[in-house]
Amino acid sequence: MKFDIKKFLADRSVPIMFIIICVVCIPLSGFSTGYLLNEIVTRIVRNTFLILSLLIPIMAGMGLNFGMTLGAMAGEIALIFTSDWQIWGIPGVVLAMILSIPISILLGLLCGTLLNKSKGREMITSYIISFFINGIYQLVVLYMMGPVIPIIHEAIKLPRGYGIRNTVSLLNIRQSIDKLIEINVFGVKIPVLSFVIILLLCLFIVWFTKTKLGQDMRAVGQNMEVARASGINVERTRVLSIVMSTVLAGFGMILYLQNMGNIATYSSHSQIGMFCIAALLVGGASVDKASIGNVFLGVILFHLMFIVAPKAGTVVTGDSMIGEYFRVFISYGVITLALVMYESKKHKKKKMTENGGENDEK
Amino acid sequence: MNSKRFNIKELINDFGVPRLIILGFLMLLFILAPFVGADLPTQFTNLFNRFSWNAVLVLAMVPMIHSGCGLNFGLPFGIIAGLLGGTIAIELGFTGAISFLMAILFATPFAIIFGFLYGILLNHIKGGEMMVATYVGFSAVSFMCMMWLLLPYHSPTMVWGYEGKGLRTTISLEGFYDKVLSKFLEIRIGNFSFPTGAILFFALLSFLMWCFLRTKTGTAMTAVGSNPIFAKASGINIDKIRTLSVIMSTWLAAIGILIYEQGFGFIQLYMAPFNMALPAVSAILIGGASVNKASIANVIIGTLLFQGIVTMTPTVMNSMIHMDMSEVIRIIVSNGMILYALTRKTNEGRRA
Amino acid sequence: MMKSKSLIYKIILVLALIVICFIMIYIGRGHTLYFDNKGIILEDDVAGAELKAPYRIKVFIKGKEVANLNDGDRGMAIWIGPKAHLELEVTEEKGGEKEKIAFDVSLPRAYDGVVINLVGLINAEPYDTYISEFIPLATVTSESEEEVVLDEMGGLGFGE
Repeated sequence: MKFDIKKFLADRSVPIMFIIICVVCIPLSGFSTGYLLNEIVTRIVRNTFLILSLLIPIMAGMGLNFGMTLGAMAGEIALIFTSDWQIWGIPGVVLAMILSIPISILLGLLCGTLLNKSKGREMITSYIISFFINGIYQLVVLYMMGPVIPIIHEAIKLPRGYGIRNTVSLLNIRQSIDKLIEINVFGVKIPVLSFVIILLLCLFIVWFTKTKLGQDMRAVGQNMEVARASGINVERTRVLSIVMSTVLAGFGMILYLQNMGNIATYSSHSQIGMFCIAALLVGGASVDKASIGNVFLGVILFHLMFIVAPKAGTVVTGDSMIGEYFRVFISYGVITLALVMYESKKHKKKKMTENGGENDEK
Repeated sequence: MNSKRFNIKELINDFGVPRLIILGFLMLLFILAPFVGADLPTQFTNLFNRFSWNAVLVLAMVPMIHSGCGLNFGLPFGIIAGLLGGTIAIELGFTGAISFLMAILFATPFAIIFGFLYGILLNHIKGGEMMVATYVGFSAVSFMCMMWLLLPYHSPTMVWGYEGKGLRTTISLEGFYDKVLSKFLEIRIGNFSFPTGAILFFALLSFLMWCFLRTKTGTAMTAVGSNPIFAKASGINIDKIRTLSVIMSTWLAAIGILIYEQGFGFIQLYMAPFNMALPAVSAILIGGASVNKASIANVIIGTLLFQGIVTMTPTVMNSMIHMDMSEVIRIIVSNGMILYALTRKTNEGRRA
Repeated sequence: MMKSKSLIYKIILVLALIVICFIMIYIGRGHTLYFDNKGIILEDDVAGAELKAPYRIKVFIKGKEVANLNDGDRGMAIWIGPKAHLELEVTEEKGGEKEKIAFDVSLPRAYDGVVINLVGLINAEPYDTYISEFIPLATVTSESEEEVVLDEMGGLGFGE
């Protein structure tokens, strides 16, 4: 078997590009290795669970689930309740996770059903859904919490008496999972329990792909018509994949926020979808193919760039904003690139089958 | 009798329940407005002003929808061309009404180049235009964020005072093209004013568009959008027509943002173009367009309805329940409308 | 047959989750504890006798010192769960003998802040005499109305 080095590089162009960016930026930024390692470990703990939640819809052929924001919102609502009831520590995290499940399932069902009605343009639809549900979320959190949904403590309400404040403190939940078992390896703090949880999710995903439902999803992802012909309930499978993704995203958001230590009530979730998707793509995933390896590689490279770019930008141009804008541009650029590559591949394939059909007629 | 009722049902279905709800909501607002003490002439002034600011941006949706490229979520791309035109005109020292003409002049080549490249890109990804368009727009906006800081602008009205470089986030247009169109032939009766010039300009562009869609190229464009197989069979160069439509959309977006600026009185840079696509998209959808069908009437009705909601909700809501829910309502209405359009079964024959 | 079996599993799962929920609400309830080293006047005592506060009390939670209280001081700590386990190191007189005692104090669910009078606790007075709710001083709301920032950028913020 001949090793095609050109193809090997072409398939990994995005991660390679990022490695180059990081290699250039790290010395420029002047951060110490210890600092960077600690930061990277924190970012892995914070984001991996969320990014893993994207894998299942990709498997089912539904593309990048921009609707993962829905799960994030469910997680936030659950955390608002637990912090209002003052359930602290790990019990608070567990309770929030359980409370988020029904909300996530409901939102996931809605999202999945709508996506079934817009086959072929799932991504743009899920993207708009996230905006739409964000409106509903604001309606609930900004106007209904207080007068309609009971909130006990004045401290988390806006001074006007209804609606939740811009930030909700999770001081007593903060890093309760990360700090439970923490070991120090050469000055790098490693939160063992958090890694165990992430590992369990990875194992779950590996196991899930081997179950009947996982196989069905893969079949649906490859070809809906063939799957339907072989007796798979395509619509149901697709909805299930979105529901699972939403629930996992909810858990992921709760883990993310327990690490951060506070909720930015009206903005935490809207940023999360973009960063997770960009990180996954940086890891070498594409719209129709993604693995657990992509997740880890992506989270490391993307966040390394995220940490060093602003500082490097400041050093090079003397303007602190350049680096900030640069990393935002890179995030969007990566997503754009991945989308273009995926869509043009799809278009080419379609064109080829069309031409093939014409030839047959002749 | 039976058949008639069936027709009404079909009519409602055709018009769409969400649109009916929005129309009903707006009418309710207008009925309530006098009771809560809102001044109707001021309201109408607001409505017409905002209409004149936004209508061209909505009109920019039409060519791409016609050629089957879907909703132009990449509107920010064209907006950037307009921003470049406006800032260059000011940089070169033009003032007053001339600066507006020069802004259009300078924006045009950028719009054509951007549109051309964007069109070629979209031809490679037929079927996935909307998602790619969204992110192309985002990438362009965030790229330009860096450029606004780095490009060699020097005009003291535009750059940060203490550093002498890098454009400000908002640039006042006073002395430049602030309200040049709105004030042209403006009609004033008491509290009520009507921005005649801006509306006439929109009418002119709409008329040109209307004419264009009836030319040979225009009908070809519609054919490409509605039945690409037929279009191909009749010898139309699909890719060329599509690129043309994208260039037109981009150019209209560039002009649209200049008109928006002259009404608003400021140029907004950096993140501002970011969230300008969604309102325009939802406006044309509210006006009765679908993912692959749009007319000038859709543009006018849609912009009026959308801006009506934007202007009326805050005043009415505030005086009624002392809660300013208008922002949230706007988000839900506009995105709900887009969602509705995306999830509706399009006539299968049209795509394919 | 298969269907009803999986339905039963699902119901069991949901019930289990609900049970876990309640357990978490029970064991996860957090309180802020306020410790007072302050003498108390016993009401039912005719003479109005006073239980005197010791010279110093140190409070340990899970082996960590959280408060070092001289006569009249107040200390603070947080506790998660319905029953607080406190270890006290009492110094009766200045320079006197140190004495270690441990207590389990059950905390009223409804109180966010619980004031524990350590003197009452040490002398095994009735529960009500040494437990009371901490009522924060009504902070004069001079704070200006908070502007709510809605993020419409769809993620163009700069993260953290």
